[in-house]
Amino acid sequence: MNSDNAKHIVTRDKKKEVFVNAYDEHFDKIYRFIYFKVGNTEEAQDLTSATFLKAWNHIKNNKVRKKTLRALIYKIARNTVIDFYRSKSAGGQNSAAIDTLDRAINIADEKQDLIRETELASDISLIEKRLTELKDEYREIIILRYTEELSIGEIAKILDKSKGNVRVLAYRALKALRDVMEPDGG
Amino acid sequence: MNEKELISQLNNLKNIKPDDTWKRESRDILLSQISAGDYSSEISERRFAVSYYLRNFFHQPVLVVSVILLAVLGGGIFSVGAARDTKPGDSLYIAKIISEKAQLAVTFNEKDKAKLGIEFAGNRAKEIARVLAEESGDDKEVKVEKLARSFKKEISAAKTRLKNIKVIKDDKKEKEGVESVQEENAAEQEDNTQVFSANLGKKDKGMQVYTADNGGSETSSSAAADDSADAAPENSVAGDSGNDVEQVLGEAEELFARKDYDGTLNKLEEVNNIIDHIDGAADGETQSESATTTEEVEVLGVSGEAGADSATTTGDNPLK
Repeated sequence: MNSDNAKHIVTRDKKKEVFVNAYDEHFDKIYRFIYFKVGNTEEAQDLTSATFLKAWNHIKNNKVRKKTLRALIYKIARNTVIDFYRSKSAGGQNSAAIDTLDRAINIADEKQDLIRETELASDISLIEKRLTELKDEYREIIILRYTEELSIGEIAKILDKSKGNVRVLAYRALKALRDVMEPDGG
Repeated sequence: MNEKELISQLNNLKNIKPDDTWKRESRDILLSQISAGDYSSEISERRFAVSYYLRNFFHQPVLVVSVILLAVLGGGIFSVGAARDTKPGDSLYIAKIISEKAQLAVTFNEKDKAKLGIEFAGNRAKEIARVLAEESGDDKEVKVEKLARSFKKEISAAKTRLKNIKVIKDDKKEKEGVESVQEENAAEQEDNTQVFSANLGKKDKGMQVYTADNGGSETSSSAAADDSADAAPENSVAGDSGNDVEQVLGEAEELFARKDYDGTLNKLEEVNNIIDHIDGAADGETQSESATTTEEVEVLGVSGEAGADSATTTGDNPLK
């Protein structure tokens, strides 16, 4: 019995180590990913914490491979945001239009903060604003592919799509972004 | 702006970082939760859920209250398990009642809700038995009376829920019967048309028997006979089980009035077993909604399929 307990403790410690390493390595990325989805620091913070907590609960009860851990955490983050929006509309805000407007307003507010915080201020704030004009799907893939620079394969796992789909999606999203960046059709 | 520039700008968005203080603090909190053990980290997940759901539930006070209750009860202040065997007069009894109400409030599946209500009615019966056995004095009478009233309330609430389930189920059955006729599997098709026609009432069953009697080829008549035989018990499980349940519930109430509390508990258990065998049509709605259950499997994107599976299970339940 004792050695069983010891073994159990060793595995659990190992898992803790794996998790904490993953946490440190991916925390900023997950936060950013969620932030671009919800457009608001406070919510992004809450949802990021919730995501990692869920990730820990998952890791401690299941086998996980280090290689796929990042994709897993992204998936959890994605689902967490989805749940968040679902419960939001269940709570009474039903118009999707209101949601996007809220988010645009929030991002505009955040924009003010960002301008003060970063050197590349003007470039970032413009592109951020344009990003919110895109639909969720496009914004999501742009962040994953061009900001976080994940591989097509990994993105495919996260979004549960085929690699081909992902490539096409990325191409279209980028094009859409270019279109809103240059409304005069340049 | 050309593509290269665009991409490089997108890349620069990497510079958006979370607030340092918050990052440090949440790391500390998380690590301490992990070290404290399994129990507390699952609790805290609920707490985090509470804080952001809470903001959006202002319009639904019932939900807010029940979520707060969940957080309080789950917060390890006392183990709800310890409250389980308490009776009126015990200090933790109130906690038990609160947790019962909270459980009801957060169960959205009508079937499960009905079962819960019946379980709680059973709890009242158990408590009465305990009070009678252990206590003395006048307040014994009062307590027993209160518990009896609560029991009756739970039972009648359960009856209402069961009626609702039957209504939902019959509606869904008809819809599903129509939809699944379009499926490729011929065997399934037969089963489903059976369910559909079973719902149309005795007249149609009569027709089937009629064709079996007068029927053309032997195989088709025996098939019809088999199918109508299948349909009959199926109908009695699915369609009439509503009546069965009510009947057994009535028996439970009788036993209760006769102060046979053990008998009552047995009947209630029977009721819950019957409810289990009512097909899961009523489940479909909530399962696909909730991706929030802590089931790890769902995280990996299986939730969509799980929801779809339960929604398409029609009345194929073999009589168990």
